[in-house]
Amino acid sequence: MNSVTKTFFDARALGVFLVLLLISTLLKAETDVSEPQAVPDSEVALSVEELKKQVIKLNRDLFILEEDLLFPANTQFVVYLSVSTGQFFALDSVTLKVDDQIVAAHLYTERQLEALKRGGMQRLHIGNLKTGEHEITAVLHGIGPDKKDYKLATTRKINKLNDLKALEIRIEDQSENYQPVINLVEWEK
Amino acid sequence: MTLNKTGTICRFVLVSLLLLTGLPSNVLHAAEPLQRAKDLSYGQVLYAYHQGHAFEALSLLNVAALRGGIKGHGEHPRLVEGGLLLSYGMVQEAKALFETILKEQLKVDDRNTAWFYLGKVFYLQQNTHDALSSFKKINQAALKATDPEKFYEMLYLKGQMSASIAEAEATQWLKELPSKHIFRFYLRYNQALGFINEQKLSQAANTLSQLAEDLQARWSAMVIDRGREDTSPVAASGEILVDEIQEIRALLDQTRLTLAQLQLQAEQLEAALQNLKGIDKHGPFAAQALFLYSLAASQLQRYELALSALTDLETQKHFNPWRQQSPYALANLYEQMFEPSLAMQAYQAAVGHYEALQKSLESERATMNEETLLSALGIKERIGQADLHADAYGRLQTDAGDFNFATLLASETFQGELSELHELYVLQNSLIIWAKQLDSFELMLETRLSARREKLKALQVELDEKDVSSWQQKTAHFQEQIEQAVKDENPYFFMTDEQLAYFQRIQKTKTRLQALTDTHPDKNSYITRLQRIQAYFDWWVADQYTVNRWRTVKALKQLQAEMSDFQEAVQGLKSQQELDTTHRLFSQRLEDGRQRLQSLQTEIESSLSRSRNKLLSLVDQAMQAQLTEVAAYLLASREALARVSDQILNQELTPAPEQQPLEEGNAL
Repeated sequence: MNSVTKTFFDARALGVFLVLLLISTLLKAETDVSEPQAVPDSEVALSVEELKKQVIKLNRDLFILEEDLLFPANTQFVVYLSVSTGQFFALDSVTLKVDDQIVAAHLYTERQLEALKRGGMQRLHIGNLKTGEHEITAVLHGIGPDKKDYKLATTRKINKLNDLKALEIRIEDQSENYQPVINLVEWEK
Repeated sequence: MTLNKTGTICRFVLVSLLLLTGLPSNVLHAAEPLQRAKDLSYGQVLYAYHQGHAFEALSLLNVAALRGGIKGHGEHPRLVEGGLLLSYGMVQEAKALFETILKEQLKVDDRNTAWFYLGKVFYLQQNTHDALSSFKKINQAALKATDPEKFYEMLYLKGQMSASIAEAEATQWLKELPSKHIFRFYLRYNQALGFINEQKLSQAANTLSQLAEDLQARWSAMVIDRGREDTSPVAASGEILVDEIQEIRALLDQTRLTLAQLQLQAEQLEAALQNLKGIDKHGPFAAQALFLYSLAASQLQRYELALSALTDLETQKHFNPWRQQSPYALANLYEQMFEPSLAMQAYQAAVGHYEALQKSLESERATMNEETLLSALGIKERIGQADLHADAYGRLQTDAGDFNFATLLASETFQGELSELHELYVLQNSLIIWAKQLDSFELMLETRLSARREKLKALQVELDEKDVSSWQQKTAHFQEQIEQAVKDENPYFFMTDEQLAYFQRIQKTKTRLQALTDTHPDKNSYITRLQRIQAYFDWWVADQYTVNRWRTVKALKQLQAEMSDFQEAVQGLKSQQELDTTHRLFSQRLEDGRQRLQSLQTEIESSLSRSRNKLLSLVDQAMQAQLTEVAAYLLASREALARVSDQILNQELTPAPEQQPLEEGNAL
């Protein structure tokens, strides 16, 4: 074998060696990766969990403080919104009026609608109301059973006493006539 | 899940990161029938929970707990809380909660759910014994009937944890999974890796080969069903969602890649080429596949294919560790093609490339800090913000333009540390917002206090003007006198003004009569007349007594009602003063909140510092490793360049063999 050929052979051998080294490294790494990756049990991870716990507690206390300060129990008025299966009405937006004044309006994202369909309740409005009679109106826009634009509205008079008043805008499907209906339900809180 | 250096997708990591991200676990939904919430607080919790807002949902659950708990839903809220704690990365808390729940009397489905989640927690902690023990406590038949997805996930996790994937029990678990279920595909892939680990390479190759066929069939069927390949599902919030069709495709590519690697090792080069050719050119394994393809082709001496693959690799985006190896590979290919000039040029280019890369890496390493790292990842402005989402595999959506970070980003440890850093910044930003909120509450309280004090002052002045106390005394005195007169049945006390006038006239007349002398001729008649008048007057007063008394008492009551209003105003004044106590309580709560905030800020700063250092340490280690690798390639390129240069020089210096002169007898 002359020197040129030997040199080329060496070059090829080197190349093949590198290839084999690469492949075996890759395969070994794949095998290693099949081992489960642990949840980091580091000092930082534990302290972050403890921090989160404290932050959640602080958030809880600030939430309650805000409610107590801004919306005392004797004047508090809360409105929730819920949806049943949403089969006959695809909710798009809602407007809430109290004594003919708009107090809340909301446009829904897909994620929010999905959360409502799964049983979630949105706290649409929280505010203060004087004792006495008030008129509550809810207007909802969306797509109806015929896949066309649909509007639902309802009005109700409520008597606000000296305690917390909670109302639920309940969107339900009526299987008798395949139509959606909204009800305003008063909750005892 | 991240694609690590070798590009393996490990389902375990996918599942664990799904647990640790903000995505809600869909497994709880099956156990919790979709029904109207019976508690408004719980309805709110579910609203946040189903949107993946774990922090908000956990806070609301805590609020509900302080206000008397959630009613009407049994143990479901606590199970939801456990799932949320896992989603939010609070594994220890979740474990403690599930262990507590399991000590109580639970319905079968709730018990199954709790054991399942507890098993998952142990699994994440690599506590295989306790994880398997937890899963054993699940009523398998009930779980399969009520929540088949959870049941399959449990089988998958059990399969992951079995000491040897080839065990009979693990195989049994594998068979219980539906043939087209993604968990089964993952387990089969990991089974193949298990064979590789045990050096049963031909078994591994057969498993992978069959798996690739099945995955191809599954993927093709899904594409036909959906009508298109690329779905790229993106939520309205900008978050990239998991798509099973893409996942199947990625696993198919991974399977082919692994199979090709085995085939290369066994020198089944044509088979390897075919497998590598089938890998998606736009997928996450494209770069690695191209590199291996070029290796296989060069060994088959199909240099045009190898060159084409390396050229394609060169055109890949920078975010690609395989591209780093291509300059040397290209030069080596030319050498194998016996093209020394081209090889020399390519080696020269490779040397230049690696030298530049070395300088660049050293410079980056010297100046690396948190800011430059985050800038390089394209998340410097968004870290700690709500719009920096994690994808379905738990990776933060970075925009790294520098391929030097590609390897790092593929590492689970780095991803974990980066996510921790982001979460700490999110917490820090939350604290900043709350601090401002507390400031505004304090201002609100001060304003209210000031307004109240003004009101109290005005009220005090009004009451002073009315001389409340003296009126109170008079009223009390009247009341006393009237009560005494009623008791004595004294009609004269209740005389009307008219009667009083007559009374006074009678008294005056009596006085005058007394002044008359006895000798007055009319005195006796006057006395008689006066007696008659007195008698009539007495009768009149007696007759009017009941009515007069009633009128007086009525007037007294009216007076008392008026005084009661006065009393109320005074009480109102006092209660206004008592509101100062309420104000003090609010102020105290604000102060407590502020102190806790400050304490948390300090702790978060400390954790941020630790996390930052850890992250930079990982980056430094990775850069060092890259420098070592680059140095090796540089050395190899230089040596090869010298070698090829010598070859060319020798060729030029070696004279062409001379033509021997013809001997006289050999001339033609």
